[in-house]
Amino acid sequence: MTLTQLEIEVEPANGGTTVIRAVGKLDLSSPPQLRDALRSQIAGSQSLLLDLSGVTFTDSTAIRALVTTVDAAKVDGWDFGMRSDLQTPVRRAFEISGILPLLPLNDD
Amino acid sequence: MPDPFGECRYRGAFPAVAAGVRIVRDEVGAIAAECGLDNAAVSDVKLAVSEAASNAIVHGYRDEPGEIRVSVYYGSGQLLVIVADDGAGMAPRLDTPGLGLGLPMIATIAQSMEVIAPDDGGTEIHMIFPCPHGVQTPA
Repeated sequence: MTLTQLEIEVEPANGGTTVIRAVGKLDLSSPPQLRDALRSQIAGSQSLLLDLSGVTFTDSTAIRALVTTVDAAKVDGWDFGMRSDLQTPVRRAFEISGILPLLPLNDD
Repeated sequence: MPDPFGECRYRGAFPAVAAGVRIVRDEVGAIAAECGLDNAAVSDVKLAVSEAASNAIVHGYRDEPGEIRVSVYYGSGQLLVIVADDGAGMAPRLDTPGLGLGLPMIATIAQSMEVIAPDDGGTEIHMIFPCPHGVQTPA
């Protein structure tokens, strides 16, 4: 049985902001998928918005991809934002891990 | 397991792969709901179990094949979840996919936690949570 845990959709920038939308659950199986999507867009975009509003669960294994992207945006001088309407379990995981204040959550 | 936790309510063994983490998480989450925890508290238990099972795969087995064993007890207002593996222990790993946040997160979520290195190898993570419906029947 194949369990589809996470689906990632990329909305190209068209001169503006690239949007990466994730739906599902982020856990041990997810970091490569999320990291690859973020990395592939970082190269060709000056502005990236990550939408995790469709993610219903995350644990700490997905956090490295987020922290790496925050750091890369700062170092390379491009805009990285995240939608702030996180589902409660996801926001809670970010709070418990201590990374919530580091995330560039936008007002929607 | 002696009192106050009473009899074992659940015991299972799962392959030490990412799909196993999901199954463990959902199985224990269902028992946490049975214990009378609200949705937010059930989510916390699932998060802690996900961290413990992921630790077994990443640090215990180092992505090699293995088995994760889970036991759940409840009684006297407490829920005890034990996640055990037969891996190499909790030694740090430079190429870890995480940031070493798993155990500190479990410590924040659980009422108490303990990491045990049994004499015959492997690691056991014991986590205790509140369990409103887990009142033990007097003997």
